Amino acid sequence: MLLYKLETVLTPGMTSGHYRFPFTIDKAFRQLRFHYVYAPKRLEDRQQSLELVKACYARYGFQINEAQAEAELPLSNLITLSVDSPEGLAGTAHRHADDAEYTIGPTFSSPGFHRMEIVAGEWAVTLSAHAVLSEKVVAEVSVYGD
Amino acid sequence: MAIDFYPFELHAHTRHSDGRFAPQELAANVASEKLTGFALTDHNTATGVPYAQEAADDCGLVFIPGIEWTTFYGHITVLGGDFGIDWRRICPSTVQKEAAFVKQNGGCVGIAHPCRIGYPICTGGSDEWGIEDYKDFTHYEIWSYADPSAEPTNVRAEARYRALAAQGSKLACVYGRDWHGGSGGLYASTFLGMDGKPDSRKALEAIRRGRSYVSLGIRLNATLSDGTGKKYCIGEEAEAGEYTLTISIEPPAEKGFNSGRLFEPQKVYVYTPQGQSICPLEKNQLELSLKAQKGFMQLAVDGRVDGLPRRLLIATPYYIQ
Repeated sequence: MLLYKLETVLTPGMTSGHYRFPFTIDKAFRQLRFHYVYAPKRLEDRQQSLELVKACYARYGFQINEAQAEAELPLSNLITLSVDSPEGLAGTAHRHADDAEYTIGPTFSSPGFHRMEIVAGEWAVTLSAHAVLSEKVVAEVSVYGD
Repeated sequence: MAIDFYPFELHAHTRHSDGRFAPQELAANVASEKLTGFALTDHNTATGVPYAQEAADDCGLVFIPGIEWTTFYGHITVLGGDFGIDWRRICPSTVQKEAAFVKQNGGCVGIAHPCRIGYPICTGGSDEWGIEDYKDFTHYEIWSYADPSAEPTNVRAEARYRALAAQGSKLACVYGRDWHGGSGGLYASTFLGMDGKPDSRKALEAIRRGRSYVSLGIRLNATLSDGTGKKYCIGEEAEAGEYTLTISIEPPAEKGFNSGRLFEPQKVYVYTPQGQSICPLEKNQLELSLKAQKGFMQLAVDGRVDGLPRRLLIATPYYIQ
């Protein structure tokens, strides 16, 4: 059953921030599933991307030519998902996937997450904005209890 | 006490973060390259550790549990465990305290790829912590990725490492492949010095003591001797004064790491805060009488690998009191 649905928007100014969204589970479950989607994954504006790459290299004291800048494309948004149980950090999915499902339970958890009992209490998802390049990135997390 | 040096990979990822290897595949690849052991440093999680430990045991490898704090301000490899620290609270105002906690609890904590290009190409990839004193850290990843000594960001990291040594920092120099999958290519390894059969405790101790060098494959035997016959290992503290430095370079161990490549070591660089000396190797050997002044004395070896001119090896300095 769907326990919690988050839809939020991240913008470039939110880069380098952690955004915590708590939710309450009122009974125990066999496992939790987190369907995590965000879009767009890539910064599609090629000219903007090239300018960002060149500016980036210049900021670090390196000059690059057009071909070297091209080699860095595409630039991507990267927003990772962490889950907190009532006891603390349950795990982090540091992945580049923009559409993924993660499971947490006592006998199986997806890589990146600890195995644990699903107990009643306050849980939370945290979106960590490693890179938000697009003007607007829409992130959705659906939490299911089985 | 006889210190021997063994090749390790200290920066590797699996599917527990964004790597392409299962832990078993990572261990199998480490074994196929004849490394002595490896550390698992998945991004912001250590859930792969029990699987990697089991796989390492199956392959007869030394395994070092770890994690890579992959933050917005820099990446840090933590070796020896994850120490129960929530990576999300690592920021410029907390990083020293958390690093000190790891070090005090027997772990190693070091700056990964300090000069890599950062946001938005590799967010947090560059050391932007604003750390002024690295006393709470144990190591510094001066080489990263493939063909490391030809990579401009590593050349910059090497220079920064020496600048930190000149300021009094004592950090083991390490290499990290930042291995996310695949094999082949010209990679390096961190050689860690230990007494007796290698294990993870000794590997961590080697990093803490600075008994390390990074190498494309050749092995370094370096002995710094004072007039009394006392000998010093790289990474050790020695008094200012007259010394004899004896160096011999050996090819990779037979069937060992990068043993299929042709190495031609040509000259040794001796770096100090006062400058550098360049000494040609003769039959892969060198003996120098030198006066060590307060600061540090660091060795590097240049030459050719498979015909390509490259820096072949960089060692953690001797620290001169």
